[in-house]
Amino acid sequence: MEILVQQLANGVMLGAIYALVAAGVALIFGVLEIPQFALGAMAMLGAYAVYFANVGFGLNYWFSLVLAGGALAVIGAITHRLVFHPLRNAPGINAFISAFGLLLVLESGALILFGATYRRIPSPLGSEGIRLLGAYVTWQRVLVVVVTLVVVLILQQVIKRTQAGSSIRAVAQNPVGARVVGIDVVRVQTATMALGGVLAALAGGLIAPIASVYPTMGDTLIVKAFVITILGGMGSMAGAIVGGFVFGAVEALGAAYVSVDYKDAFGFVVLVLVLALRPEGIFGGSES
Amino acid sequence: MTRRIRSLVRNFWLQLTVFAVAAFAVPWVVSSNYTFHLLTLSAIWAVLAVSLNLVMGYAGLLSIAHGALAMLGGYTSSLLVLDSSVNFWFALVVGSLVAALMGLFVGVLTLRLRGHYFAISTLAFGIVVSLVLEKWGTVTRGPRGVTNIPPPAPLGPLEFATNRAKYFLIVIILVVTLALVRNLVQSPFGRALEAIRGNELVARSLGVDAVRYKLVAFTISAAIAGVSGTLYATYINYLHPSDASLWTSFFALLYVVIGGSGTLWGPVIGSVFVVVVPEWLRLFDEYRQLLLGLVLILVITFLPGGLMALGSKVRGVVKRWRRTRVRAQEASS
Repeated sequence: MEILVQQLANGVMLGAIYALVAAGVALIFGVLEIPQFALGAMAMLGAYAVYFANVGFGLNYWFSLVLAGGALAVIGAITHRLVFHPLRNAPGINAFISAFGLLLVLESGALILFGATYRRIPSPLGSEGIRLLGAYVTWQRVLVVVVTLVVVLILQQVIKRTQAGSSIRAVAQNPVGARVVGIDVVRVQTATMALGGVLAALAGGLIAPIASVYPTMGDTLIVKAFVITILGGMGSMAGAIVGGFVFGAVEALGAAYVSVDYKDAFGFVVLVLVLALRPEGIFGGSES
Repeated sequence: MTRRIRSLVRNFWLQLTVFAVAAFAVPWVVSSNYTFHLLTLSAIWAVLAVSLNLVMGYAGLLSIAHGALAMLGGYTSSLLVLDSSVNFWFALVVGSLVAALMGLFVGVLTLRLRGHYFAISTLAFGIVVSLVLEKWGTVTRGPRGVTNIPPPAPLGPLEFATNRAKYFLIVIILVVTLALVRNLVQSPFGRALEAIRGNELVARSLGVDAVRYKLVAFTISAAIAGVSGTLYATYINYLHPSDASLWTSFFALLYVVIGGSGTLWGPVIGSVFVVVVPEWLRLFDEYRQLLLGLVLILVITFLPGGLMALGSKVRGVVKRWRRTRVRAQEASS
C-alpha cells in the first residue's frame, strides 16, 4: 500500500508536468495544425531561465517562474513568425520538419551558451513534505500538481469566456471564417504559439527543482507529450491534461509492479493499445 | 542534337552507371583516409536516406523510426553472427526481415490514421527500440554495446576484411537500392503512391487501396533500412543503443530534405553533403548541430526541393532579375 501510494504520488507529479507540455502541444495543434516538436526545448529554456533568475540573480522563485514564462512567450512568438509563419501554405510535413530544425537549433544553442553541466535549483519550499497514507511527498511535488491544475483551469476559463479565447476557438474551428468576421488570424496564431511557450516554460521551471537542468532535458518530455496528445485525441486540451496524469500514473505503476528498467516504455504500450482499439484517442470526437 | 544530349543526361541508367564508376574510382582518387571514411559513412547513410525517401518523398509519410529500424537490422544481424555463428549474408537478410516486420507492425497500427499520428507513433516506436536495446542486456549486451562485430564473410574468392572492400560492398548495395527504388517509383505501384501523396481522397475514389499501398511501401522501406544498419555495424565494428536514438532517424530526415525529397538522387547528395561538408568546416559538434538545424529550416522554407532544386531555383531567380532589369531599362529609355 505504501509503495502504491508513493509511486502514484510520483506518477501524478510527473503526469502534471507532462500534462502542461501536452496542453501546449494540443493547443498549438488545435489552432495551427502544427506539431510543435520544439516545445520540449522551450521547456528546457524555461528551466534555464528560472535557474539564471533564481540562482544567478537571486530573485524569488515565483518571480523567476513568471519571468521565464514571459521570456518563453516572446521566444514562442518570434519563432512562430520566423519559422512557422512562412510555411503556412506548404504541406503539413514541412512544418513538422522545421519544428525538428528548431529543436536542433535551440538545443545546440543551449549547449553552446550554457554548457553540458547539470545544474540544480533549490526547491523554494525546502525538502519538507507531508505524510500521505504512509507515503512521504515533498511540498515541491505537491506544488507542481497544484500549480498545474490552477494554470490549466485559468487557461480553460480564458479560452471559454474571454474575447481573446473565443478568437482562439474561432481560428481553431475555421481560419477562413475567422478572417471573414474580422479576426486577425495571424495575431491569434502568434499568440497561441506564445501561450504554448508559457506552458512549456512553466513545466520546465516547475520540474527544475526536482530534476536537474541540462540542454537535452526536454527530449523525453516532448516525446511523451506528443504521445499523450495522441492518447487524448489530437487538439483536445482536456484530453491532453487527463492523458498526462494517466500517462504519469501508468509509468509509475509499471515501474513499481512490472519493471523499473522499462519505466519509460509503459506509456508507449498504452499508446499502441489505444491506437489499436480506439484510434481517435480517448477523448477524440468524430470531427476532423 | 542538344535535345538528344539532354535526354541522355537525364537517363537514369546512364546516371547510375556514371555514379557507380565514379564511386568505384573514389579509393584511387581520395588519398586521405579520413575523407575516405567520411565517404564510406555517407554511402551507408545514403542507403538509409534512399529507403526513407521512398516513404517520405513518394508516399508523403514522415517516418521518425528509420534510425531505429536500421539499428534493429544491425543488432539482429550482428548478434546472430556473434552469438549464433550464423553466416553473415544470411544474418543480413534476417536483420532486414526483422526490420520489415517491425515496420509492418507499426504500419498496421498507424497507417489507417490520417495526419500526424503516423509520424508521432514512429517517434514513440524509435524510443522504445533504443530503450529495449539498452535494457535487454542478456541479449543485446545493454549499455556496453556490441563490440568486435566481424567483417562480412567472404563470398567465394571475394574478401571483405579491409575498409576498401567494405566500401565496394556498400557502394554495390547503394547502387542496387537506387535501381530498386527507381523501378518501384516508376511502376504503377509508385504512381499510386504519388497519387496518394498528392490527394489521398481522389486516389481512393479512383480505386487505389491507399492504406495497403502505404503499408507495402513502408515495409519495403523498413527492409532496406535494416540492410543499412547491418552495413553500418559491420563497417564500424561496434553498435551502441544510442545508435538507435532519435538522432539517427533525425539525421536520415536531414539527408533527404537537404538533398531533395521525392527525387532519386536527392538522398544521396544530401548524405554526402551533410556528412562531408561540416567536416571541412571543422566545427565542433554543437556548432555543427546548430548549423544543420538552421540549414534545415532555411532549406524547408526557401528551397523545399532541396539541393536537387537548386539549379532551377537559381535559374528562376536570374530570369526574374533579368526581366526586371529589362523592364527598368525600358522604363528609363
